[in-house]
Amino acid sequence: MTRSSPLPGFRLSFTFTMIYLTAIVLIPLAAILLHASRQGFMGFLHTVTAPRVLASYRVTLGSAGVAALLSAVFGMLLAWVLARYDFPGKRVVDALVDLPFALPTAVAGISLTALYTEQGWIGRYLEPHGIHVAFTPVGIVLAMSFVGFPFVVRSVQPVLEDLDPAMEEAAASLGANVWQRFTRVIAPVAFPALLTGTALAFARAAGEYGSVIFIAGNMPMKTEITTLLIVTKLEEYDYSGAAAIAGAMLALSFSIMLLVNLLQWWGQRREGNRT
Amino acid sequence: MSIQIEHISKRYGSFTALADVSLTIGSGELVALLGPSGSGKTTLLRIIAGLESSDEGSILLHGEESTRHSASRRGIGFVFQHYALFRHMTIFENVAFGLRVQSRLLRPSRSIIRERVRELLHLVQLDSFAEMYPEQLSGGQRQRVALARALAVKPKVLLLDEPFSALDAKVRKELRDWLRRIHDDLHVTTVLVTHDQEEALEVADRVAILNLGKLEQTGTPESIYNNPASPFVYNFLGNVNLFHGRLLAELSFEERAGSTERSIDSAIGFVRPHELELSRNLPADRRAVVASVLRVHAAGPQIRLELSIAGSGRSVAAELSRKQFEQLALVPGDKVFVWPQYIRLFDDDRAMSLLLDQGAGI
Amino acid sequence: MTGHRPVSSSSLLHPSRAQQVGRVTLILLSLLFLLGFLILPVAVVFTQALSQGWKLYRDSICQAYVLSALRLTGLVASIAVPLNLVFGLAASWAITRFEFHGKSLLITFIDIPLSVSPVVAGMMYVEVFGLHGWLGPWLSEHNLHVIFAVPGIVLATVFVTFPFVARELIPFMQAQGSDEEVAAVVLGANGWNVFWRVTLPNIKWALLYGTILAASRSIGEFGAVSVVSGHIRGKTTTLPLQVEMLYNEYNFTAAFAAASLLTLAAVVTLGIKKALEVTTGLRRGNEKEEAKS
Repeated sequence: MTRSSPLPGFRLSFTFTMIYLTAIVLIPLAAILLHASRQGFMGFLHTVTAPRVLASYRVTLGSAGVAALLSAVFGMLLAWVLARYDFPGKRVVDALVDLPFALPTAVAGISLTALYTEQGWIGRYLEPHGIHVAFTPVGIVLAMSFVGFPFVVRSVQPVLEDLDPAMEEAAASLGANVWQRFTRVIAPVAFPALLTGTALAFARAAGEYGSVIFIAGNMPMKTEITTLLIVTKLEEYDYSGAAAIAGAMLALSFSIMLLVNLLQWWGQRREGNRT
Repeated sequence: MSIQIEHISKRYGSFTALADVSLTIGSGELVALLGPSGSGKTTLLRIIAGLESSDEGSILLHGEESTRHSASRRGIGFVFQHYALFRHMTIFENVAFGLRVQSRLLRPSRSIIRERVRELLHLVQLDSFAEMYPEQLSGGQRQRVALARALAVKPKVLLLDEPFSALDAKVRKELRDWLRRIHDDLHVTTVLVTHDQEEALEVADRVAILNLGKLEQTGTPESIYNNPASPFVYNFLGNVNLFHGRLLAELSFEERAGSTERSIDSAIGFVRPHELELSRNLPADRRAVVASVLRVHAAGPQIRLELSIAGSGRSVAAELSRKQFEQLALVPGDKVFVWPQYIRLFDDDRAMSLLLDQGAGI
Repeated sequence: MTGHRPVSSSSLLHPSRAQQVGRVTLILLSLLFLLGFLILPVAVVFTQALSQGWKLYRDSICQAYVLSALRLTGLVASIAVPLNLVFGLAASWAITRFEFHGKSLLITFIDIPLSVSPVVAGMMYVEVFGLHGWLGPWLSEHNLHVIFAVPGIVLATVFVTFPFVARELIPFMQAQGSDEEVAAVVLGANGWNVFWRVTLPNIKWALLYGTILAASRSIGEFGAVSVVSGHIRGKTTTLPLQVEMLYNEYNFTAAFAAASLLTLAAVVTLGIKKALEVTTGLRRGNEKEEAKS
């Protein structure tokens, strides 16, 4: 029992937590990082900058970036509408935003593909106009946006909901018009949350596998995403190669995690630490 | 059961919460730990309870060294400031809790538990509330339940942490009286933490005043009110006016603004508002000061006047009975002569305390 | 959303005609977006599954491999979810009821699965338990199989779902405070009494909510499981993997039939989540770091 609390069970709960974490997270994580580093820095660098790998970065990060922006736009729209307006069916809409979280990525993948191929419900209108979605980077961006936009919604929505109407009323009584109220009162508060959500959407998109591989086409150097490349290398028994690329992806994940934490800290500071 | 607190010290990092506090509480006594926030009174209470540990010192419960005993084995009852009732249990289940969690060997039978709970609910006058939930009760009712719950396991010591401060003024007064009555019935050694001096002085057998982790004074309510040992205690109990001045050889006290007498030391003088005398005419054999009336507060049993002393412009509070006030018929702007009936002097911080009766002029 | 008053009810901000039109436009745009982006994919699953008639749909689902995939998915979820539930309880008890150094580091570690790509997650276990991994030789010596076998799938699923219960409980228990539990201790209750009689009843809704999230995720996990499973039909394919297999064999109807089961589960999950939110006023937890993957 720690001296600072009269409640029992610290040793038991803490030890269990640490053992569980170590076994499930820390040791496996260490295993990949160690393997990746076993090739030495030059070896690592060589692997992760091979042409095919570089191409996959281009595809993955490029698409993730565009998808993040799209997620930001649509996510912001939905967050705004959900936080500030009442309309019939609002609860259903709110629940549906979580669909990409709840739906298995493979299911998302095959249904998106089915929609946008030539025979698909949407594809049949687009293809004749020369707009190819399935098996192109456009499809990749689409699938990534599908899984990414809920992050933006769920980051911005609570912030907008917590906004005190009295603030806007005060601004209005002081003579601010609609646009000014938005840019001076609402946007500064919502912006950090928007950035956070977009960063999360980006991270999710970059690491995505199931929803993308069906619609992507998966042609090396053209439409092959990095996660697929890792799987391919595993299937070819190139464990070192896979580990190296996985290591690079982990570096990206952790950087984004750090960025998100910083953004949240910044956001809290601006609000005077409301959480 | 008596409580002996010996040389208790507690620090949080560089902040000293308690510094060498020693106190003895006799069996059956009701002692109030009084002080402003940050004085360490709650910390001391929690150390007695075993909810926090001290860095130095020991706690003896009925002569037995209890410092290492865990909170659940000290035989104490604790009442929290915010009730801490089990929100998902009925009132009955709340009060019965302490009895139900006893080990199989010691646990009383279901019918005995039921009997005891009914008894306690009757004691706190909440008989018909047994099947309700805490959220359906008012603050005052919840605190009564909390008390009943604490008493259910027949504690040898009852500890209350600012139990009434979350309640309305009227409810606070009612519960205060009621706590005193229960104590008189049950004679459980009780320690009450409060920052409300009125509460402490009205309810307790003895009061212990803490300030910044140190014990300033202990004694009966009367004795500490009439013989405060330091400016802090004096200031904390009851409204005061403060005068800085110099102590003169002949024990007359000149206010700093304009004195030609020879002075020895400087001192602080305290006068309570009701110890000031007012008159429209200059008193014959007394030194008095001219003041003008700034404001009159006529709501309540006493009339409170804000005066501004001519010359220094300093404001001073005076209290009169309605009768006295009506005799004087003062309105804002009027001029009055003011002098103290009693003045209590402190040299530096504490130590010397002189009571000057009349003869003194401001 | 307790106590939240939509801005549209504020009388000072009574919208002008133009604003009202703008408002309706935004709402319609969002509904359109939702329709095209979310509802259509769900609809497609069912139309494709049923495109060759109800009988074929039923046969596809009752086919041996699909059934065994269903069983495996159920098995994995029924192991992973209780394990993570216990972890969530232990972690939130330690974190919210005690003070110790490194608390925020611990919380960061708990968030790791949310920021790691599922493929990388699967790879981590291959690195430890695979043939060439740390424990590989030892495992083959004792004829134990983790990778390309059920234990590996369970592990990968445990990894991706364990933050959920903890992340629901931690802010909830933090906000509730420990007063009731301290009161119980003073009244003489021992550790288990405090937990069962006081803590658990107070956290039951948050616990349920987190469990639903974890369960939904363990059923639907694809990427991580794909890496560790080896895709051995009938033995190590979960339902999502089975969907992929059928699809890659161009057996689209059967693939969508299997997918429809998963979609139904997802929709049910959403319904339960919403119902919980509405009836118990639970917010959605820490959206800023919501489930990744």
